[in-house]
Order: sequence, then C-alpha cells, then structure tokens
Amino acid sequence: MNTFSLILKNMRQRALSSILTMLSVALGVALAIAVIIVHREGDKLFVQSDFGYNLIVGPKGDELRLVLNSSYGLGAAQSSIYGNVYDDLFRNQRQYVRSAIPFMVGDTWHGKRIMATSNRIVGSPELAAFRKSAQSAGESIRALAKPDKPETDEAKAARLAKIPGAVDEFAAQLGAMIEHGDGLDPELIGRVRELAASVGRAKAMIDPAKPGMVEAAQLIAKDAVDQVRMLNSFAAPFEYRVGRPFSLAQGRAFHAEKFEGVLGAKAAQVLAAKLGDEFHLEHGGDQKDVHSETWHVVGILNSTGTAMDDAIFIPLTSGWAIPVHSEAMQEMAKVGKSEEEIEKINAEYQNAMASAATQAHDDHDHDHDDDHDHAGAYEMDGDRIRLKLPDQLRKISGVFVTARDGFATETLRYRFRNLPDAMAVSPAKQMADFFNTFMKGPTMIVLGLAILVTVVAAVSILVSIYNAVSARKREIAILRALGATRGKVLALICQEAMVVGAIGAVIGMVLGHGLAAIGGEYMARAFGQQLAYLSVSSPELFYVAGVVVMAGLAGLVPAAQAYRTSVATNLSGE
Amino acid sequence: MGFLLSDVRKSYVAPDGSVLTVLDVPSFQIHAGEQVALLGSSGSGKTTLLHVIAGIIAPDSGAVLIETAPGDAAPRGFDALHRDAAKIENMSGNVDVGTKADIALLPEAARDRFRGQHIGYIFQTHHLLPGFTALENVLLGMSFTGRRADHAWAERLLTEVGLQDRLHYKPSKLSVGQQQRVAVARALANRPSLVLADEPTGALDYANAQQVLDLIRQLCDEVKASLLIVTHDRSIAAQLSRTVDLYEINRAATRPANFAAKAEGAAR
Repeated sequence: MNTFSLILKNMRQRALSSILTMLSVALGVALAIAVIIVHREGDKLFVQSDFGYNLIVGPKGDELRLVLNSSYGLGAAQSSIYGNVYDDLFRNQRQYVRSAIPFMVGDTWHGKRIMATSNRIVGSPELAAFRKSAQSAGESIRALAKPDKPETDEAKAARLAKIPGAVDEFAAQLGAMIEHGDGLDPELIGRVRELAASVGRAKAMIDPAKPGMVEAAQLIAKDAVDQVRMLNSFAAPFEYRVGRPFSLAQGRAFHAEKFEGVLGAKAAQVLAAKLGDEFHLEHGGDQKDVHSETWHVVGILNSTGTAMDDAIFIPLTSGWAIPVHSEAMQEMAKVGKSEEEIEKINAEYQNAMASAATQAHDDHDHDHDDDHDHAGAYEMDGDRIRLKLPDQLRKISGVFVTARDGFATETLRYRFRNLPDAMAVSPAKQMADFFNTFMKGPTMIVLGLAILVTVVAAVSILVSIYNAVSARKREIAILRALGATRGKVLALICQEAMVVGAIGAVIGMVLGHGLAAIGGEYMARAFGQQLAYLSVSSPELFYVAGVVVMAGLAGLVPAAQAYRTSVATNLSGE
Repeated sequence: MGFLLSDVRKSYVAPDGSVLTVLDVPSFQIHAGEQVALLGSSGSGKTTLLHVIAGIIAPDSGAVLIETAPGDAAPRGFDALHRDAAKIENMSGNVDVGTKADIALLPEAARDRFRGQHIGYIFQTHHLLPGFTALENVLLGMSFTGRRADHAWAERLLTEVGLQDRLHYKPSKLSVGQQQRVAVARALANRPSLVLADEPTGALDYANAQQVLDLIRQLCDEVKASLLIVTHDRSIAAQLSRTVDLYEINRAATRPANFAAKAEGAAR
C-alpha cells in the first residue's frame, strides 16, 4: 500500500468534506485563472494590437473617443472633418500613405451601426481586377522609363522607337480601367481619369523627331509609374487586422453610387438579413427618426472577430445624399464664418442644387417614392445617385490610414498635430493607454480578490484536514504503532492537503477557462473581440503550482497536530 | 533475536505535580523464539512495559537491549540500527559472538523504523483502520518498512487465520473474532522478531479466544518470532512455555489484594 493510495483512502473516507474543500479551492482558482486569462488576452487585444491600419484621422478632440468610436463602434462620433483632409492624404501625403479609407458614422439600422465608406473596404473581384489592370498598365509604362544601367545607342534607339506604341497601350489600358471601373470607388476612377488626361497630353507632345521631347515624355511617364503604383496600393483591400482583409461570404461589394449595403457577419445574423432585403437608416441612432431612402442588401461579409462584424457598410455617396445630412453639412460650413463668407457658401450651395435640378429631372426613371423632397440633395439617374452637394462641403467622420512604415506614421501624426481641425491617432497606442489606465487597475484588484479567495480556500483545507486529524487521532496512533515515524505522518497529512489543493486547482483551471469563455463572449459583444480562452499560459501554471504549495503549507498546521499525536495516549483507554 | 530489559524505569508526572513511577524493572529477558506470558492486571504497568519494549516510549533510564545469538545472522535492519544508534554496546567486543544494541538509546524515528521492521503489535481491541479492507489493513502493516508490500504473504496470512473469503471485507462487516484475527495477521505481516500482544483475547468469548491464541502461537512459530503476551487469564498463561508474574519483575507495581498470583518460573 503506497503513500498515494493511503492518501486517496483517507480522502474517500470523508468524501463530502474532501469534495467541498476541493470545490472551495476550485472556485478561488477559477476566479483567479479567469482574471489571468482576461488580463492576458486584454493585453493581447489592446496592447500588442495588430490593427490593420496605423492611424485614424478624425476631428480634433478626445483621441481615445475617436478610436473607441471608429474601431469599436462605442459611443458617438464627436464631430466631423472635411473631405478635403482625405483628399490631402490621397494626393499630397501619398509618400507616407499606403492606403486610406474615409468613413462616416452616426446612423444605425435596428441599432446596428451604419458605416458609410468606400467600397474599397470590402475586398471584391472588381477591385482585384482593377489592381491587376493597374499592375499590367504599370508594366507597359515602365518600358518608357530610362533604365538605371547605361545603354548602348542601339538599345536607346530601340527603346525610343517603342515609346509611341507603349503610350498607346498604356492609354488604352487606362481607358479599359475606367470602362470596367463602374461601381468602384469614384476616387480611384477619378485618379485614373486624371492620369489618362495627363498621358493624353504627353502623347501629343511625343514627336521623336524633336530632340528633348522624348526626355520630357519620359518625365511624365515616370510620374505615371508613380501614380499607378499609388493606385495599386490604394486599391489594396482594407485590412482590419494585419494581413486580414474583409471577404464576402455572400453577394458582392456595394456599388459606390447606389443605395446598396454590405452587412457585417454578426449584423446579418442578428438582423436575420439576406441578400435583396431592404433597409433604412435611423438618423443619429434614433429609431423613431428614419430617413426615407431605401437601401438594398447586396453582400454579407465573413466573420472577422472584430467590432466591424456588427456594422453595416454603405457607400459614402449614399450617406452624403441623405437630405438632412446635406443640409447639416451646409450649416456646419457656416459656423464661425463671416457674413460675407456665409453668403458665398449659401450661393454656392443654392447654385449646386439648382444646376443639378435643371440638369436632371427630364428623363430619369424615378423609381422610388416621391413624397419627400430629396431634390435639394441628390438626383437619381436610373438607380445611380447623382450627388448635388458641392465637394468642398462634404464631410466625413474620419479616415482609416495605413502608413507606409513607422517613420511615415510618426510624420503623419506630427503633421496632423499642427492642423487646426483634424488629428491622427494611433489606435494601438490609444488602446494600450486605455487598457493600462482603466483596465489594469481593476483587473489587479480582481486578481487580488481572487488570490484572497484562494487563501480562504487554503484555510478551508487547513480547517477540514485539522478537523479530520482531530477525529482520526486514534488512526494516526495506529499508523505510528505500525512503524510510521512522526515525519511520515507529517508528510502524509501535508501530501493529502496538496492532493486536495491540486485536484481543486485543476478543477478550478477548467472552470476558470469556462469563465473566461463567458467573459470572452461578453468581450466579443462589447468590443467585437474574441478571447483565446483555451490557451494555457505560464502565469496560470505558476499560479496553480503556487496553490498546491500553499495547500501543502496549510496542511502543515493539522500535520503538526498529527505529528504531536501521542501513540501511548491514543491507543490506551481500552 | 532476544530482548533484554535492564534497570528500566519510567515515571510520569501526575497532574498534582507528584512523580508517579509506573515501571521499575531490574531485569527481564525474552529469548529468541520463546513464548512468554506476562501475568498482570490493569495498573501493573503492563502496557507501559510493552510500549517501552516496542520503542513507542523511551524509558527514563535503563537499557532495552536486542541481542543476536552467536552464529545467528544479524537481524534485518540491524545495520541501519547501527547507523541510527547513538551508542552501541558490543558486550563481547566481537560481532561474531553476538551483538547487542540498546533500543532505548535510539532516536524516536529510528525506534519507529525498528518497530515497523521487527515488532508486531496486537492490541486488546483490534485497532484496524475502519476505511480499509482486511487485506488492506494487513498491507498497511507492511507500509512503513521501506520494503515493497508482499501481497502473496498478506493473503497467505489471512488464509491461515481463516479469512481467505473475507479479504475485501471492511472491519465493520467482520465479527469481533474475525477482526482480531485480521489484527493477528497484520502483526505478523513483516515477519517480526518479536510479537507483543496486549490482552489479545480480552474482548473475545472463550472459543474465539482459544482460536486466536492458537493462531498467534502457531504463526509466531512459523516466522520464528518470540512472543510476549500480557494477560490476566491464567488459563491462557498456562499454555505458554514460560509465565512471568509482572508484579515480581516490576517493583513499581503494587499487587491488588484479589490478584493472588503465583507465578510459575522466575523472572530473571
């Protein structure tokens, strides 16, 4: 009969007490383990942060609020910025910016957040095809560029001879991109159009007979190569986490100029939405104030495990088109302006609305209810939205920016710091600060409580075994009479305490991971983030080992009592 | 292995502060293989004497010597005993003609180990562990020797005491006589050199008492263990090879008026 079976026998003899003691240990350990896991995973989610974008550009104000609202859909957007901030990124900061996606938030559908944005946010076959064309166009224009290595006169002559053909090919490719780019982000297509125009100008200049013209054409071509490269990176799919773009589970990406929407996986599931369903926008999240426009579900995204799963994506154009939004933007433009400037804005606005109104309204099939006055904001051209809102009045909530590298991130942050209206915030840094400020303290308190609970559990081991030893003094005396030394008896009791502690701790670990799973579900709902609650980390193992040691120490008290048990006294009296 | 008590004294301090001497044994010997009855009633210091021999308590003074006869192999654990002993007396100065060691001088843990290996103890009541089966109780007797438990021997012992079909019964499912037979098997589990039995049949009826006594004697013969039975029952004492009157060897014991003892054989 070995020591372990002796211990198990002892425990089985007072099974109820043993089980209750183990349970109290298990509860303490479960709490502590759950806290450890939530803490660890929280760290992973917020502190290490692998956001697919480095910066969020938004209105000047509370940086944390901007991140919580933009990335996690928490709270309300603070204010808005002009679309020209985005244009500036797109055009003037392009050496720093790999990709940038503007968005506008504030409305909801059945409580699910609406994000009006570029359809570049949704990876789509159309976008992929666009990138492919951009790439091959880049290849053809590159033939024009001067090679790095010195070339022979013959090679140069051959290269120059190819130029007219290459330019033609490039121009044709750009034309095809425009033609097939229907429904894509108008920004992208606009850039292609501009590029096509400048290529057209270059083409007119190229006359191989005139010396120096070839060189000039090459400069223009060099710029074209740059532009194509930028187009390519801008058309790269938006990544919500590093290396992870959105993908469609069903349907297609929304058209940039139609009342269409793509639903996040969770939003689709909760709303039981399917392709073709209609939906409306609740203004500012107020479920009683519903905009009269009707959107159609054209796609549903795969789950990402982020808060974005809870959102509904619609084209930015359709967000701007909503009359209330247009008017609000016009009003906002007047804030803080002189009377003269206000008049100018009014005139511009009226002018834009009027010209659009006369231009349209003759032959478009107006296929939705006409009982509201949207004439002030947009026109329908077939099922396409023709926005009347002047460009300079268009506002957005922010821009997700992917910088080229760490240096670019810092440069952009610095640049925005010096701008009056906008700021660039690193979501990773904000969330790390947020976690360290608001989450770490409370988690430490909970961890402290959990440790306290575990200590109480250890005391319960002490009490339970102490009582058992008191009741079993005669048995201990028998063991002594059979040759067990005091040390052996001491060890037996301590080991029993450790076994109780260890079994309790293991049960507690399982329960703790269960608790963390529940906590993870909550986190997933609140932040759209799942916890890896199954993985076991070394702090957990240290904690469990600590519990076993503590149980052993708690066992020392009854063990000392057993140690002192007198054989002679406890065996006589017969 | 023989046992020799020499000038063993043990006193206790009574609650009122007075010193109460319970044991004062000038000399008492058990030869190897001998079966001795010690006659005495309660208050004669019998349990204290057994505890001293078993090493459960250490005497205040005097020696409890173990002795191997000339030519005998040293008992199991003897080397360890040498290591543990604070002081070893070698009476002749020559190991070949027998060694002596004083148990009383050993530290407690060494006495415990010696007891586990060399002494079997049978109590008046069985003192079996209630949560363990008959077989487990016997195996438990083997647990503190540092050797592997010998299942076959445990089962054989239980068979010899007639409990072959009760191996897995817990004590509560056994009769009093059967319980005491398990206790006998447990005492013999380690093939001890000496079996100490404290009123082993005191709780049994006549038929059971005789049966248990026969088993003890027979098993002690089988493993060549010496046997010391403390009893107040003359009919039991009469069956053993030698009877010693406890009141004669223990000067601290006062013979009660009704204990008309006439010990056969002299205490040495």
